[in-house]
Amino acid sequence: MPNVVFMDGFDVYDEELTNTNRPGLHSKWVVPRQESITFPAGRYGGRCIHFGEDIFGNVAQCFFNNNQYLQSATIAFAYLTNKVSDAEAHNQFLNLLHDQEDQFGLMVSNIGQVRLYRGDTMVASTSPNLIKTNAWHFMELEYVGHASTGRATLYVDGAKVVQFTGNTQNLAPYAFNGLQFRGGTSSGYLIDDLYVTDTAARFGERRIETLLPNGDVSGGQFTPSSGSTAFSMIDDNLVSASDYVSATALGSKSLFNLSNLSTNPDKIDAVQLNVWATKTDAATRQLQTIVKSGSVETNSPDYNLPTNHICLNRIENADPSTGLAWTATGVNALQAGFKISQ
Amino acid sequence: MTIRITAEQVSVQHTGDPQVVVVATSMEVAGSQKFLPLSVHDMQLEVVGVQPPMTILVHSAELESLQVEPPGAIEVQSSNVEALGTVFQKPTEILGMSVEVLRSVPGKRRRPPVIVVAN
Repeated sequence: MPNVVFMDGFDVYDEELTNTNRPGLHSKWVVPRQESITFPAGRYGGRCIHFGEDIFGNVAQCFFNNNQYLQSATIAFAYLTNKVSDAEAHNQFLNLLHDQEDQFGLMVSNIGQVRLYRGDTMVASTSPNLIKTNAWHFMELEYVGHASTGRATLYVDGAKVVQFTGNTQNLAPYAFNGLQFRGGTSSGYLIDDLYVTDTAARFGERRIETLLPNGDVSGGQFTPSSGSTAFSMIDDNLVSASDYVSATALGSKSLFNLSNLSTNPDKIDAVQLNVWATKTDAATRQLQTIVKSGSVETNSPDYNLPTNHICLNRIENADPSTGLAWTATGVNALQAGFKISQ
Repeated sequence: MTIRITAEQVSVQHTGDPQVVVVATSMEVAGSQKFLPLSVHDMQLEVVGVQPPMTILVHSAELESLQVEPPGAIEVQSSNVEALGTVFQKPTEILGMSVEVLRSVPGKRRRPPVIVVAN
């Protein structure tokens, strides 16, 4: 069964990207060109990420949890462009990165084709008029990296639109460990519902729904910065440093109830817990995040905290209480939280 | 002055004579008594990964202030220092939390509508 190794719904990021004291995209991504990024309304509510026009080159990069290198993977996301241009012959909007090198990429041309690139070399393309402007399209790229027996298969809106077999590696080794989104000189685009798995086998169209804390579990030891309810300090649909919960003593722990799914889905492939945390002096501090499903409570490894805000995230591909795929009932009963471990 | 540590990790800072030496004379680790000489010269002392209780003996008549975190982690049993000093806070702050669910788009047993727009 494929494991999700990275996912982002872009729903809760602060737009003030240049302020390191605000928990923006840089709390999870590496963002060389943050001035071109905004977070407009998303595909199914919430928000998405917008990579603006007139910025050429590397805009934002993400690297997978535990710095995992993948030789076989599926990269899937919703894409919308307001204008297409191929003023640049190989202006890939997305690159699979091996550290900082381009391994394989996708480009949308000015006739609505999606073109596949190995490094800077185009190896295949779809038929024209596939990608419409100002319309969401869901792309799924199945990728197997190899110098001779590689494969790249692209699905758009559920239809298989192009497949390339052969050399899919720009440089050895074949694997990649991150994604890079690039700007175009005259085209901007939106990305939403992004996920990456460790297997070249697509799930089909997916969305990412974000659930927020909506109640304290009794016995919580973190103190709200104001008022008497802790959950209301960390339930912002736009993560903010203006209110927070805090604790000092080793072992302090809090759990929270969460909002329910909007509808019961057929499939739930993964659940990701995000916690934005910081410490306020220079001494070493560690935090564990907690997922509680049924009576089973699982703690993450220790995360070392910096003195600015970082997004601690962990992905649970299966329900820890059953070892099976998540169900809507399991997600709706989920509790989550954190604990000071050093 | 004898102080007792009641947390697994503490930080001690002093702002007095730079030659003040803080010496840990003994501590309990996994049930066995061990001796841990520690010294600090106008800098932060951290004792990491030990199990309480631990006893630290401070040799100084010139200690002007002692900063301790977490608050209450050090219990002063006897002291020749008039002021314990400012509590040195080291809180952990959580600004936000969310759970993202990767899910299929349509609801269960319900197909999404196909919308046709025509004259």
